Amino acid sequence: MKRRNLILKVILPVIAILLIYGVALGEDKIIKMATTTSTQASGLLDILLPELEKDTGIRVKVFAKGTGAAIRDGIDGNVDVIFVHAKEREEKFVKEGYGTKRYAVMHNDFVILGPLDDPAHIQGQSDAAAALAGIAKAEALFISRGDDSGTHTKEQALWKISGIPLEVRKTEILKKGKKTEICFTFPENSMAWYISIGQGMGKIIIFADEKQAYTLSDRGTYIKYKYGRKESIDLEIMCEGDSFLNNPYGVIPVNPARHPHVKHELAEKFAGWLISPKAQSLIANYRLMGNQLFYPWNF
Amino acid sequence: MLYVLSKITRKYGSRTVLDIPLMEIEQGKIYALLGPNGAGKTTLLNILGFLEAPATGDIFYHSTPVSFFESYLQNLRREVVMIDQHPILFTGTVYKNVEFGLKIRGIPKKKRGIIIEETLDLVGMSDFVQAQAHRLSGGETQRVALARALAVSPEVLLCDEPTSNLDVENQAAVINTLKQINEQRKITIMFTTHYMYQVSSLAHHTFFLDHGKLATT
Amino acid sequence: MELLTDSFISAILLIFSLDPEVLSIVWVSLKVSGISTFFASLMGVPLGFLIAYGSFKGKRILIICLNTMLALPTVVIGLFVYSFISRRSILGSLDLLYTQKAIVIGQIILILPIVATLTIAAISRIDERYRKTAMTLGANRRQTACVIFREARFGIVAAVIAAFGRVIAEVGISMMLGGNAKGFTRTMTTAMALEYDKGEFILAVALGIILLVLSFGINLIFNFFQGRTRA
Repeated sequence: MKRRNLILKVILPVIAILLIYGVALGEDKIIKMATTTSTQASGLLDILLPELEKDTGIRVKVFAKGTGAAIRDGIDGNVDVIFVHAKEREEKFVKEGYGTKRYAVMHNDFVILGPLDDPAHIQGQSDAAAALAGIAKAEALFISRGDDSGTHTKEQALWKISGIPLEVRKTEILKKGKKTEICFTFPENSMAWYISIGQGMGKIIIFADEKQAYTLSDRGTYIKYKYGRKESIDLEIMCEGDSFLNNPYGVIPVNPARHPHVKHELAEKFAGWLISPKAQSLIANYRLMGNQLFYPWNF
Repeated sequence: MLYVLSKITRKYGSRTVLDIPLMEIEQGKIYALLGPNGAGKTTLLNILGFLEAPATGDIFYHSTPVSFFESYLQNLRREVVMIDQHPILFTGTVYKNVEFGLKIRGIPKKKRGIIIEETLDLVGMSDFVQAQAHRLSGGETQRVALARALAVSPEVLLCDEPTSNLDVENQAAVINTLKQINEQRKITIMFTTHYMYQVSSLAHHTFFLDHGKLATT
Repeated sequence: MELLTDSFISAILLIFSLDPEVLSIVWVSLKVSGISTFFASLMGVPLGFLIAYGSFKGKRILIICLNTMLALPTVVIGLFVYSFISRRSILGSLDLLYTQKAIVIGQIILILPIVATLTIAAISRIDERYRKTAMTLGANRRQTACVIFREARFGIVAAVIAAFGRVIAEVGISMMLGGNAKGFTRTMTTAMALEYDKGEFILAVALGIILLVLSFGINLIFNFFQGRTRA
């Protein structure tokens, strides 16, 4: 008897409430977005998303990861939209039918950071590839993301044009039953000075600061760690302004033809809002410690 | 006199478990210690074996006062061995068990082998020399424990209920061994027991212990 | 499902191809965990022994403290050690942060209480009569301790194995103090965390399989030794 009472009086109402709540949530305009740590860590999303909700009623659940993981979430249909910065891979994502269309949203830039005493003598160098070559020649410590992120993709592209002899490590993997290769490019014989730690940008900056090493970072995260913390870091910008260091961000709704369950309509609406004049001016006016971090694409 | 105990008391908390004004033990004799459970028999054996210190009082061993420092007691313990009511054997073979006391006395390996063979023969356990100690029965365990104690040629052997858990056959074997070593090696023995017939057949003297107090016969 | 089967098949292939990267990660893991277990045992076993064997003031408090330390989260230890060896703090000049040594230090703090408390438990399980028997047969303190140690040896080995099992599966300390540097401080667990961040699951699954197999083996041995103490 007692057990029956328990079921009737406690468990059933709880289930009922949960069901109602769940349905109500389901009707809400919520989409899931995978993005890179840089958009979230910079604080930009905190400015954009409340405005988005005001204008369209759409709420966004944000999953901040490395670009590789964010794209992977899109491929697996775990999210409705991705917002990342690795142009080539984004275009491939669309070409392979995982996304419907890439919308260019904004760009910022990468900087090469290094310790004050600058053992590789690259401070002021305007050619990013030459700066990396200088680090390699001096065999000065360099910290790499090594996590297949947008920053890591950019770093590998820079090594390729630096003229330094490179090593390519290929790993064969199975994707959909087919063999695919993933490549990692890094300087040859660099065991002693090239350290790949496979973590987020903030961790890399702390690691590089601890070891007084060089690294490649996006400007936003650097500014945040340099000026936004009680305990500042010693690293300085060694190289900036090279057009090759440009870093474009794109937003791509996930293709409903691949994953019928995604909220494609809302995702398209979200992408459209991001490139609207209002959002674009919000991006242009966003400042972190008085520094502009992102430059809108259509401004 | 081998032992003279004077004004010995022992307390556990506020309970007095032992209160002996005077007790004398003569060398080469067998003593029986009788008394109901909880009379303080085991405590008295522990004190005689220098495993426990009395709360107050003096002990004279070979007419020398005993000071209760660990290093001093260690030397005395080399001459007095106690066998528990339920003896426990070390993990390993019977050989290793009997060897223990000899090894820590630094007796050379060859001599150890001879002594072990002799003592195991004495208790009738020669066939078990390589047996695993934990596989032995209660009676066999008791006999190996006796051999382990005898191997070190003690002056005094203290046995807490040496036969209480044994069948008749093993009881006789243990009693005979005790008698034999007392006669041949002049080892002083004190044992506790419940069995009156053992007292008459084995002991030269008997002590009665009741509520920690002594009554001689 | 495709994700799981693809990853799983590739992972198996990766393991059996004896991929140098996998081997290096497994080696770093085993080496670091082995060293920390070794040092933790070197300190923890005698410590546990002294606590269990001795009688002194504050023994109970000490045991309570050790038991509390069992619940210490790895991130707390990581943070604590970090604050000592970071470049800007007291021991910064030793350049310890993000080295294998740093992981070892953190892991020793993690498992020292495990080794000590399990040793205490193993010693306490040993029958009091062993001590009495050794003493009455003329053993001095050291020799008596040897007897008890010998009787408790399976329990103590089990303590060491349990500690090893804890560190090999630990991720917080290795990540915070080791920094996951490839070829230096990248362990199985930190590599798995990284691969997840990358969105590539094959290496993670492969390492997961290896870790599970290792854990299974460790538990088998642990079980064997635990069984021996009870018998």
